Amino acid sequence: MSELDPTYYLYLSALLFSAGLFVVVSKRNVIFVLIGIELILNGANLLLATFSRINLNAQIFAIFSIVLTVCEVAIALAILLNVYRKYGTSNLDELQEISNE
Amino acid sequence: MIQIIQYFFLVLALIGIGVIVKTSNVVHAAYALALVLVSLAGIYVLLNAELLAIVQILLYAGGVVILLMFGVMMTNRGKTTKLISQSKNSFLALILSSAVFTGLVYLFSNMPEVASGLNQSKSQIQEIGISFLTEHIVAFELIAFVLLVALVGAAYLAKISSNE
Repeated sequence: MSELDPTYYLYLSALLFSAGLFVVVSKRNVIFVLIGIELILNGANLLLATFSRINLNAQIFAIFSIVLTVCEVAIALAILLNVYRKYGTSNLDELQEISNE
Repeated sequence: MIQIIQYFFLVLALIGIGVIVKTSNVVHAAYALALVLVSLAGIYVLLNAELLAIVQILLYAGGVVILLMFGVMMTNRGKTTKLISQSKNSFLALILSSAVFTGLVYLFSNMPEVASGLNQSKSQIQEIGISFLTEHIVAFELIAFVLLVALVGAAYLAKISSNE
């Protein structure tokens, strides 16, 4: 019945953060970049949840950050929808070329 | 027994992360993100953060993933059936992210006094509810207002352009 060492969760949150960073840097689709941002924020939330055993305020902070993430995704997808209607692509490199013209 | 469940959720999260990093299909990545989010909710339950797990399931697995799916549907009106994302600078990104990972693991493995404090645990859902309505009441009301404004703003942003 022994519990796992909680430091595994810290390592998992580090992995979530770096995998999200990899996705944000390497993938070229806007929705993929949003998925990477979700991974990064989930890494931060897992860290906060692990440390909420020491200080309960961490858990409250994590709940606030989840709500703010939902706002961010809703706004980002509305903006993406407008960009797609105007330029017909959701590829970051093509959008960069359009804005350079 | 509890250790087996913990390993189960850890492995589930690892599989989801692997799929997201490896695939170039956006829909597959969104499903894998749902897998990661649900397994993280299980981990939150095991960490005695039940309220956080419920919020995670409701808002992330129920809200964000559905929103991403709608985004995929609405930005894929061409003749193709799959939304494939190109990758660029994969090697540089790998170097960057593994450097960050190594640094974070080094940081986490070098704080023994914090890790020993992590072992005490009991469910504290009542204290969270009380402190939401006493200590953090301003932040609580503000976050509700921010959520309302963001959702109305998102609906407005998506609506205006359809009239053009």
